[in-house]
Amino acid sequence: MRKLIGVAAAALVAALVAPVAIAQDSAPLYIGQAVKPTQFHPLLAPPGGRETRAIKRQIFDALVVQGDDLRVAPQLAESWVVTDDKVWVLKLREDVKFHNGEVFNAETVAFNLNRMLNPDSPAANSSTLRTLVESVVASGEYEVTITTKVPAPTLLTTLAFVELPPKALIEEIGDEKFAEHPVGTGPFEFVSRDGSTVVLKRNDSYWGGKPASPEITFQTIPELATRIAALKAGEIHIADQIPPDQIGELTGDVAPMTVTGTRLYYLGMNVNVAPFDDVNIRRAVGKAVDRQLLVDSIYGGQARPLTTMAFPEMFGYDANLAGFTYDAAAAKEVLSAVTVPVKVSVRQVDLVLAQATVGFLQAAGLKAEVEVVEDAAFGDLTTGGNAQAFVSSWGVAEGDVDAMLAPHFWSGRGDKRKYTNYANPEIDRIFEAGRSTTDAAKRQELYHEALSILVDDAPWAPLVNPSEIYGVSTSMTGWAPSSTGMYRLNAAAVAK
Amino acid sequence: MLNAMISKIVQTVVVLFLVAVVVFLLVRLTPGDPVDIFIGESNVSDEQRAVLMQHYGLDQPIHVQFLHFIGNALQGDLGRSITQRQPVGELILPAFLATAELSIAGMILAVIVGVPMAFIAAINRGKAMDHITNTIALFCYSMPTFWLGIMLILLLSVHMGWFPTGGRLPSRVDLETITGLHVVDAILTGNMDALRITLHQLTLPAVALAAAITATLTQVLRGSLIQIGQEEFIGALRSRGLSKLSIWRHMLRNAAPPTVIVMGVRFGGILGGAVVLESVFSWPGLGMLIVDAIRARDYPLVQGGVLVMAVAFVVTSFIVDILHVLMDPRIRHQEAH
Repeated sequence: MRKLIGVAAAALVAALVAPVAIAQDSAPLYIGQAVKPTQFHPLLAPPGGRETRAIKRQIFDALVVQGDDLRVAPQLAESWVVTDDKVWVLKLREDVKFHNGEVFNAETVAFNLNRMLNPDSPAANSSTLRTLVESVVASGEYEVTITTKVPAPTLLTTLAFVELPPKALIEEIGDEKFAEHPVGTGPFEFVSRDGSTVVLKRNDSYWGGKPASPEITFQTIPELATRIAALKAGEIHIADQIPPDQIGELTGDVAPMTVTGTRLYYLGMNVNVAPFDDVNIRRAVGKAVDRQLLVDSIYGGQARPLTTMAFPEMFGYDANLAGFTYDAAAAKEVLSAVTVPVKVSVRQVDLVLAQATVGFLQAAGLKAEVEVVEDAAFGDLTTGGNAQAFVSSWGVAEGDVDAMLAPHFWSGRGDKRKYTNYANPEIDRIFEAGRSTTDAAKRQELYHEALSILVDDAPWAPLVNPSEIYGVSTSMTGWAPSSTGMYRLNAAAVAK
Repeated sequence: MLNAMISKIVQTVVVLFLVAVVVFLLVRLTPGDPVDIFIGESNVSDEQRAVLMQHYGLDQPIHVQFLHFIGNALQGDLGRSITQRQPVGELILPAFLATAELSIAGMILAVIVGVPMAFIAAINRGKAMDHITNTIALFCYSMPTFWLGIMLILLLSVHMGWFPTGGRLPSRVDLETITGLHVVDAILTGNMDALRITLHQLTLPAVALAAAITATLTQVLRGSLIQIGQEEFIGALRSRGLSKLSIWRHMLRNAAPPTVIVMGVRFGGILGGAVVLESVFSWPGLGMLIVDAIRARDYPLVQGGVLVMAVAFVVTSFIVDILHVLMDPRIRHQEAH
C-alpha cells in the first residue's frame, strides 16, 4: 500500500511558502515582547516558550511548518510519501543553504534527528520523537527515510517543532559556542543579542524569497504600559500579549489585531480527594460555570467558551459533542449539599479567571475559595497531584487532541506529572489507538469517544479559549498574527 | 587606619562567603527546579528529565554542587546560565554596568537638584520656600517609582515625543566598548552621536530614579544644615564678617558626612538593581536579570547575580566609610591615636 500524503497540502501552501513578490525598501522592524527569550540552539535545553520559538523560527526552518489552521505544510521537506504506514520518505528542497554557506541536505536532517533520538540528548523536546521514531536514515542526497515504531499520525506535527541547525558547523565549534551565535537556514540571520534585544538581519539568499525588511529587532519590554507606549511612540511595530481590556488604548497610528489562540483554560479537580472523588460533584462543577459570561466580562468577547477539552481547530474536535452546558439550578442542587471546603489554587497571572470561576461555584453553594500560589510552587503542587482543585491552562499549539491527552490523561506518558490523578484504561486504549493509526476518520472517531468520556468523568471543567491580541502599527504591511504564535515576517514591511 | 581597613576587608570576605552560602541554599530550597520550569508544557519523560538534571550537574549531592560552585567562583568562573547558555560573567557584567550607569546618572541628578533645594530650605527655615521644597520632596518621595516612570513615559515619550520609552543603546548605534558605561565610552571615543543617543535614553529612567533620591537627600541635608547653622562656630564665622558664600561652604562641609553615608547606602541598594524601574524602562540591568533568573530558577545566574550585587553593596559601603573618615576630621583624629 502506498499512500500519498501531503501533495494536495503542498499545492495549497505553495503560495504561502514559495517566493513571494515582496515590497522592497522596508525600514527595519521592531517587535516588543513581554517575555525574555531563552537560548536559541534547537538541540539544547531549554526549548523556550512561544517568544523564543518566534525568534528561533526566523533563524531556523524545520522539515515542515504549521499553517494558521495548525495543520502541517512543507518547509524544508518538499513532499513525502508513506509506505507500509510506518516508513516515511521525505523529499528535501535542493536549493537550501545555511547562513554560513553550509549546504542543507539529508545528512543534516539525519544528523540532527539522530542526535535527538540518542537517549543522552540534552534537548528537552526529544521524548515525543523518541516514542514515535525507530530510525532516521539519509537515503539519498536530498531524501530522508524515517521509520516509525507504529503508524504515527502525529509524526509531522512533532517534526514541525524541530528546527534544524547545520551539521558541520556544530561538529566544528560545539554546542555551547553554537548556542551563543546560532546559524540556520531561515529568512533572517542572527546578528547579536544583549540584555534586552535580539537583532537579526535579512537572509538575502533565502530559498523562500528575499524578506522585505533588512533587519528585525526583538525587544524585551516586560511592562505592559511601556510596551503599549513604545508602540504608540512608533518605536516598535508589533507589541505582543495585549490584554483585552487594553484594546481601547490602541487607537490612532496603532491598532489591535487578534487571532484565535491555542490555549485551553480549565478548572482541574483532584479525583482522589473529597469532594472531587465524587464524579457527580465534578459534573456539577462543570455545569455551574457560565462560560459565555466569562468570555464577555473578563475577555471582552476576545475568547471562546470551552464546553469540551478541545477548541475547534484541534484535530479531533467535535462540534456535535454537547459537552458542559451551564445549568445553575442543576449545579446548585448537588453543590449546595457539599460540606467539604474547597481550595482552588491558581497562579497570579490567572487570578481573575479563577476568581470569576470560583464566584460561580460559590453561587452554586460550594464553599470554595481561591488560593494564589507562586509559579514554581504551583508547578510542584499540580504536577505532584496535590492540589485539591486548580485553575490553569495548557497550550495545544500542535492542534491535535493527542497533544492534550498525552500530558494530562494518558497513564503511559512516562513522567511524574499527576495533575488531577485521573486515570482511565479506556482513555489509554483510545489514546494509543489514536496515536498509531494514520487513518484520519478513525482518529476522529476515537477522539470523539475520548472527549465524551472526559466530559462524562469530568476531571476538568473546561473554561475558555482566549484569543491572542497584538498591538500593531498601522504603518506596517504584510503581516498578520498567526494562531501558532509564530511571526511570519518575510513580507512584513514598514515605510522608510 | 590600616588596621581598620584590614578588619574591614576580612569582614567583607566573611560577608561575601555567607552571602554565597545563603544564596546557594535558598535558591535550591525554594520550590521548583530549573528543569521542571523550562520543561513547562513539553512532553519530557522522567528518563529524559534525569539526563537533563545530569547535564546541569543537578543530580549531584548539594555539598558537591556547592564545593564545585565555590571552587569555580574563586577562580572567577561563575558557571554557565541554564536559560541563556552563556557564561554567567558575560551576562552579569553588562547588566551590572547598565545598572551602574543608571544609578550614577540618578545620583548626579539628585545631587544637582537636591543640594540647592536643601540649602534653600535650610536658609529659609519655616518660611514659604522651606514649605515649598518640603512639599516637593515629600511629593517625590511618596510617588511610587513605577507610577512616576509610566507617567514620564506617557507624557514625555508618547505625547511629546521627546524621549524614547525605554531600552538602553539601540542596536543601530555603533559604540566601541571600553568601560561598558556608554556615556563614558562615547566620550572616550569622541562618538558624539552615540553620546547624544545614550543621554537621550538615559534621561527618563535617571529622572525617575533621581526623584526619590532627591527627596531623601534634601531632607537629610536640610536637617544637617539647620543643625550646623545653629552651632557656635557658624555664629563666630558670621561675626568675623565672612561672606555668605564661604559660610555656606563651611556649613556644607560640616553637614556632608551624614548625608554621604545615607546616600552611599542608598546607592549601594540601587546598584543591586532598581528592579521596578528597570522593568518600566526595559533597562537591561542587574535587577531585571536576577528577577528573570529567579523565576526560571537559573541557579548559576541567580548565584552569580546576587554575589555581584553583594560585592557592589559591600564595596560601596567600604568607599563610603573611607569618604566619611576623610571628610570628618574628628574620626581621622580618633583613628590616629
